[in-house]
Amino acid sequence: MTDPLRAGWRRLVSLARRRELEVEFEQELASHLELLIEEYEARGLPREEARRLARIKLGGEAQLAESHRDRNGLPWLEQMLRDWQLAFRSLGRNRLLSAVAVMSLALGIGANTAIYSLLDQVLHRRLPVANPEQLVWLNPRGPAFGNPAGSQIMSYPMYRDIRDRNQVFTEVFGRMILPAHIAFPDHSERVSAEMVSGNYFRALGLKPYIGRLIGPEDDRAPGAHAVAVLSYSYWRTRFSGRRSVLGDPIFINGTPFKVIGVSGPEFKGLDMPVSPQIRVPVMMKSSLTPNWDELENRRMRWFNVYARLKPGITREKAQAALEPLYAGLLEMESMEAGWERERMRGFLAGKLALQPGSQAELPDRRSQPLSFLLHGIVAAVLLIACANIANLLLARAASRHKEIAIRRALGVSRRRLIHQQLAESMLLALSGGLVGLGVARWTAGYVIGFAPPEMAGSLTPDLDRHLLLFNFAVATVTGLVFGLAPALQTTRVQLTPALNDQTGSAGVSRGRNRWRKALVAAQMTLSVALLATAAFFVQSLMNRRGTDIGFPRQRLIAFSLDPRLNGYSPEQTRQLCERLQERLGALPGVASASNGKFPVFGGQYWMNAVVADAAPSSAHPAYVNVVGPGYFRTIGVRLVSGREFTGEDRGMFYRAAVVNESFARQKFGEADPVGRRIGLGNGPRTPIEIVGLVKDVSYAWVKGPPEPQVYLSTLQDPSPSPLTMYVRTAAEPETLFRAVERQVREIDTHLPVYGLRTMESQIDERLVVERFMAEFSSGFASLAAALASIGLYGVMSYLVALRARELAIRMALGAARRGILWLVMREAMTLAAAGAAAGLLLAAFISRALASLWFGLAPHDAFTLGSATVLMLLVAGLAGLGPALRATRVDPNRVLHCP
Amino acid sequence: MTQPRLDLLQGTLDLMVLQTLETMGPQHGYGIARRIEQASQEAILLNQGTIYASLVRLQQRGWISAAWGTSENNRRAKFYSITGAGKRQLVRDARNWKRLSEVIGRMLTAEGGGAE
Repeated sequence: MTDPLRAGWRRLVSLARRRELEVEFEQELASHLELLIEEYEARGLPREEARRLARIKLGGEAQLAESHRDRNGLPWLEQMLRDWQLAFRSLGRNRLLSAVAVMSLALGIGANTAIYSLLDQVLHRRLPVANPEQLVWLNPRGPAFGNPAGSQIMSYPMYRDIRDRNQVFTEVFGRMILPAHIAFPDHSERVSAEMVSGNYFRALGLKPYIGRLIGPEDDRAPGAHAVAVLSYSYWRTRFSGRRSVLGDPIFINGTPFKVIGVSGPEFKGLDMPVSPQIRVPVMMKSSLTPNWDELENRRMRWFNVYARLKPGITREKAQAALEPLYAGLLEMESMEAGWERERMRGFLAGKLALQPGSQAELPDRRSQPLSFLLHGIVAAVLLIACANIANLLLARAASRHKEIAIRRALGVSRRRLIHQQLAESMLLALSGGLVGLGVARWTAGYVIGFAPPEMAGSLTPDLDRHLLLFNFAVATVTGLVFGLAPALQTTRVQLTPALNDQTGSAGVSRGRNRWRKALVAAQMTLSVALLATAAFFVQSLMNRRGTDIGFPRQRLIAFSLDPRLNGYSPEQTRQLCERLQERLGALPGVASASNGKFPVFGGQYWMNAVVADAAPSSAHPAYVNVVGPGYFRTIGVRLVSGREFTGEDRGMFYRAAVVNESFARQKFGEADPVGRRIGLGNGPRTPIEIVGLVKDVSYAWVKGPPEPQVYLSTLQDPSPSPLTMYVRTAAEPETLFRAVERQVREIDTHLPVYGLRTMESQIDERLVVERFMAEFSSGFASLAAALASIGLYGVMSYLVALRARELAIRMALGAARRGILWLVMREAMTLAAAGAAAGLLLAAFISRALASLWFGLAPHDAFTLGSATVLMLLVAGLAGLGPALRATRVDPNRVLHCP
Repeated sequence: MTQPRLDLLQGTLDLMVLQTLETMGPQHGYGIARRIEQASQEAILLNQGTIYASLVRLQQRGWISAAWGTSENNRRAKFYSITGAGKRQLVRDARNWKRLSEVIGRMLTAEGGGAE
């Protein structure tokens, strides 16, 4: 046994017989003292003098006993137990205060855990695949299709060249996610499918749950490998987890595929939010994309490409190594395109960026600042809670100032005292963390409630070991943060003044009060910033909701169909459209029905250059939509002049157009556009005659003034699928859902209906982020304001108690109660105002950083910023009023007469 | 006694205690303290209580052991005696100490310092 180990063991053993050892040591010292006394007596000193000298010679018995105790046993363990006992007792004495402290910490820690959990699930969690850190995402940067940001996708030939000609990857694989229709005997459904390269599963290192996965041998020749792998959850829900499904045919877009296997339950896909239900080899592309193939077209980009780095090769090294290869590929592509020099140069400057592929990517770029904001909000709330507890502990320690001084004088080390105080704060923090677990579950559930269904499925409010650890870590850090500073502060005692102090609690330096005030001011700052952020979100939501969308949103049903995936030709689709419109229009309770290509507020749009009167100089981009007969009547957009489309506007290409007022004004000034001609594209293309003029309507919810729009006729659309049907009802729209679906079913059992909902709920769905952020930020901002007010209240109460004597003297000297009230309120409001002013600055900064998230608000919207500040000051005023009133009730007689 | 009292270097007390027990045989705390003072010709004056810190430390390391016995004046006292491990440790420490003091002595002489 090594020495330290042996010593530790002996200490542990002696811990068991601590009491006995203490008695023994007392006896030993007593015997020592006797021997010393005898020695001095032997030198001829009187007994009393000998005893005195012997005592001095031996040293203070109490200190000796204390240090002996510390050396024996495991003092830190004993002390820790004792500290925790003490902490329990001291918190138990003050139940209400402790409960408030634990609850506010629980809210803070719980909210942090929940947000961390969700963002972790969405953003940070590594893919459940082999060695995820080796995965990279090949992201082409540089102009493509006029998109200067880069397309993030590749053509299949480019993928193949990189796969076969690189020296840095063990695997290069790719995929494309797209909708597909799966036919069952009595109905069909729309699913999310993933076309994958043959090495996809091998590169990810995934094993099948049953059967086998797609391999390179399933991906050799176009159209030759009709095999499919089901995702675990799709297999469970649609095929009841039947093993016999292996080898069965499954009809994807009408083509029979053989089910060869099911992937593992843990693998959801490369991007968490969308998890495809079915995977097929990319060589089967013609079945998945019936109206375009382009597998061999270098100019057609559609493939997401990933790779696995060879061991020992870093991302940077690989990126550098790929540069010449990629440059060569771009050159090959630009030669095929045959561009002029200028365009070619920009194109050739494109670079291939390698990004970490180990984490699922969020498709929505807006989520980045949002996740940052969510973290920030909950962190701020936790900080405010911490500040409260720090203040509470400071006040409590201050009231024990004298006790601490006495204990220090008696030889208790500063470290012991700090430990004792830390035990108390750790106990608070850990209890808060424990209760916070419940809060976290609830908060996570609440947030998931807002998530779109395809995303909510992959999110869980459940807490795993990982999260428990996070929670514990946050609680510990929290406890240290708010516990350590007060502990250090209060144990730095100057003994003499503290012990001589008569009042029992004063003798607290001004510096410490400054600390306290600074904490409260900081709370105010954070609260104002949070309130302002919340106010921006609420205001933005109100602006959105209040926006005139140009037509009545009530009693309007929308749903979508994608007949092309069922093999419909354009002509068949147009016929389907007409038949359906007729049947829907004839339903009882329906006023009218029509269709459009791009669903209103669906987030998709078509922008195209449009020329007027065959004059190329007049080419401007306009938003284009393709709509059926009766569209404007159904939606409720007023026709200004001309007519809307009828069944007569049919053919193989667009001949007739309806334009909105913005377009007409841009192209023709105030003249009536009906009868004029326009063309799509830059040159004098197919002449399209304007037959009608309508009022402006928002298209895809674009900010700013209404944009120029051109409507073309569905019955002249060369590729009319997918389409969105609109039904204007006289009855409550929800009651007609079943009837509407039946109409489609009666025409074609195998044509899935998707996105069936009312326009109101569709608009609300578009606002989900806004609604969520408004609710979430308001909730937590209110919580923050409440916590900060509690903080202000506590500190003001404390300061009033501290100044009781001074106030009493003032009153005795004739100060008016109003004067006293003003004295205290002024102090409270100065604190609040100072904090709020800093908060205002912070809020202004935040509002500028997040301006893109808000609708219809200037970055520094004075009303919003101002209302948040005023609200906080009002609440602060209320919080300060209590202590101020108490100050006016100070009784000089009582205060000045008692010592 | 006119010379100022020597301050004890860290660890030297342990060495003195071990040496005392080695030469004197089992001793109680008072005896050890007294012996150290005498051996140093009162150049070291202990706050005798401090000896117990050393005693506990040495016991925990297993270099000395303790047992209750009766003192010369018929008092119950705790007697400490050096163990085998303690003897070995004493040899090691004494050697180190000698080497160290030689080195320091040499250095002080070489620099013609205040060896007086």
